[in-house]
Amino acid sequence: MKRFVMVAASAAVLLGTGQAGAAGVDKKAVLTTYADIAHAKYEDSLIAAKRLKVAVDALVAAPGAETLAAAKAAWIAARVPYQQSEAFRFGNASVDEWEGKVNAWPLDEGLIDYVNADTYGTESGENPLYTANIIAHPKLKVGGKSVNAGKIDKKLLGKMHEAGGVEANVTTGYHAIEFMLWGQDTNGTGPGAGNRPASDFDTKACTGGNCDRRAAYLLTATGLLVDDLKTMVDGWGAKGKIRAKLLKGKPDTGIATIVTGLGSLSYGELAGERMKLGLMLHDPEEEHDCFSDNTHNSHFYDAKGIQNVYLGKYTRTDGSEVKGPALADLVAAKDPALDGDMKAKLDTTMAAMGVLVKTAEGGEVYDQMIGAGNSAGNAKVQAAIDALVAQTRSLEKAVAVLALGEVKFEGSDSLDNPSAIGK
Amino acid sequence: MRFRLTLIVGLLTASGPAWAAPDYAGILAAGADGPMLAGYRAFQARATTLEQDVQSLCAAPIPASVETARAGFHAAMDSWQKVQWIGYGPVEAFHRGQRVQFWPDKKNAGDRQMLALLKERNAEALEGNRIAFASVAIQGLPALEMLLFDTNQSAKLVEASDDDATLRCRLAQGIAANLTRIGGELVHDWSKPDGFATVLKSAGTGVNPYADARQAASQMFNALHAQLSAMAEIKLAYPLAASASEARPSRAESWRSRRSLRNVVLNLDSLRETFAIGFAPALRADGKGAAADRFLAALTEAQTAAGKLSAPMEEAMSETEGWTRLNGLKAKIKNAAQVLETEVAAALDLQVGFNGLDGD
Repeated sequence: MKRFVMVAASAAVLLGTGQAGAAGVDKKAVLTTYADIAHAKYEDSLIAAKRLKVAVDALVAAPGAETLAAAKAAWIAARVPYQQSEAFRFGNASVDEWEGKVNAWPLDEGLIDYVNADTYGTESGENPLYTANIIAHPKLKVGGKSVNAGKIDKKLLGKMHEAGGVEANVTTGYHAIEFMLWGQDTNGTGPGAGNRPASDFDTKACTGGNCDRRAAYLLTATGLLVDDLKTMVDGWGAKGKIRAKLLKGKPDTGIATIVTGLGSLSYGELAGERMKLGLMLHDPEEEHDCFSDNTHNSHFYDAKGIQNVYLGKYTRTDGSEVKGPALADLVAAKDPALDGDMKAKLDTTMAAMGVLVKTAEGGEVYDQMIGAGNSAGNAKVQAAIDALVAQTRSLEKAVAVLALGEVKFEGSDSLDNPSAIGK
Repeated sequence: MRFRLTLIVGLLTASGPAWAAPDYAGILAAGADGPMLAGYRAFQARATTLEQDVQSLCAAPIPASVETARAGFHAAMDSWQKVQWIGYGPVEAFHRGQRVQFWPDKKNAGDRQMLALLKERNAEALEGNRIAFASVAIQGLPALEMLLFDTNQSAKLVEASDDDATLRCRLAQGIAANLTRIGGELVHDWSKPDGFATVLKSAGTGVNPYADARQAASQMFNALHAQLSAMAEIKLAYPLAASASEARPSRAESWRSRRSLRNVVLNLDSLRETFAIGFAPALRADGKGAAADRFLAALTEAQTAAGKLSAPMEEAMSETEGWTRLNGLKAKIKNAAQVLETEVAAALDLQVGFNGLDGD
């Protein structure tokens, strides 16, 4: 996937202003809060993934409507802390490199399991493994070479992830698990999510074929998610390498990391790749959580994560709070009006995202909102995009007043790059 | 493979130092009244002809009519390629640019949506103005290219008794009419009394989105650079991959009509024309003609490299010699981008530039 990266070189640096910190706010303390919130979010994500694993074990042990519903509920709950952690992805290279294993999207689900050829198609010029169907095939061909897929285990899934260099070949992470639980969404921009029957995991009354391999796939992918999240919890822990790198470096470099994460997620990733592109294409495949129709929550908690990192205050899954000196305090010390403006913009975004959630909960889910001809739904999504772009503009001003030097924001070719210039 | 384009945005809103201020207003006027407007007018005219060609095809669905419509498509795409670099102004409004050409389409949305549409036989949904509100991927040049050049589709265009032909014709007519309409909107919004040409020429005065002419010239400069980066990274590097055996012709920009190299050639022509008419004279007036000459020379090298390729890119890339030449062309384009973002940017006193970077 192509991405544009916008680099804002602050006016202060161009003018040669010094690096003096904001009076009264310790940048190390801000970085410590940031790392503490990261650790808490990944730990919450890990706890939720372990609960998902318990639910998935129960589903495979006794496939039925109830165990399937419980597993789906556990997946949706697992998304809440994880999406809030996405504010840490950009800026922290080690998080961005790791992220593809757990949250890669979009995926060509035909690589994993059976799909409906009428809606999915049978081939893609982009992806030779478009309908490879690992679950149905103990032997696979990747780039002319045979791959033994007889045993579905962590090694196989790791090997097949991004097979053939195609990013849409996603075999692991939340969205692979989502596809296993819900199945393909064949409703287009009409109502309805994926509708996989629990019997797809029932080796005694199997539907969809290869139920043993499908069950193995689900268990393996969920186990991998737990493993991968543990890596992040460790990395941000008291002795973690990611935390250490952040705190041992120059304070301004660390603050720039925070801003990069917030700006890139706001602008290029969420407003651009995940929202604007889908709106232009009116395409349900452009829905982030397309199998489960959970995209409204996915976007909402991304935005929430941006807000709580800026404010330095995260409410954990168990209701406890992690808080401390934050980017907001640094900005306020330099320019209280700008801090006020930024907080207002974040509130506007949350309100717009709230509208999406409310609309979805009212029965019109995200893929319907972006549908062609749904001007009211389109406008709601556009309002959230506009709010995200507006908060990015305020963040750019914060880069300037904090004199951080070069800060890179992820851009998107779906958004109008040129209008970002010079404003 | 992922790649990044790094855009260095100068947040300085004040004008550059007075001692060396290039004639930004002159650059803007030369572009706005010159190749940019002419380019949109040409696109409007070619789209109008294309619309007529498609109507003739549908009135008399015979192979010769398909050929005429294909020629009309090529002419329209030729003119679009010359304005493709203009990523701002009226083309941004209502997703007009994406609607004319949704590209790059790395997830095959266009193919997927077109096939679904044909399968559903839902041409009514796209008639008249309604097509403008459909997915951007099914209302522009790539969608029409599929109907006219994909042999499965174009064969179905000329079987008049077939419902399929009627359906495809209605769709093709709808797309062509949509292109004409967008072409007209682009020309109108550019050239009307308070249109975008006026906005550019009066940058920094009155009610104007630009703080000054320098800011507007920066945007124009950036757009030229972005086009070079897109040519190197998306039009060439992306389909070329790492070797001739790994090359993916269907990733090329206009692979169905086998004109992807022609697109690059036209892009180079357009960049040269735009640079030569505005930026180069401004640099020469400041005694900085050497920077302009170096960029123009770099463009010439790229144009020469493109001229050495005889077979269409879609064929050439799968053979070692052709692949190597295309890769060489990519390197020449990257070099031109490099000259632009370093020497030329410095000479123009613009803290603006793009860097094409590999990896993610």
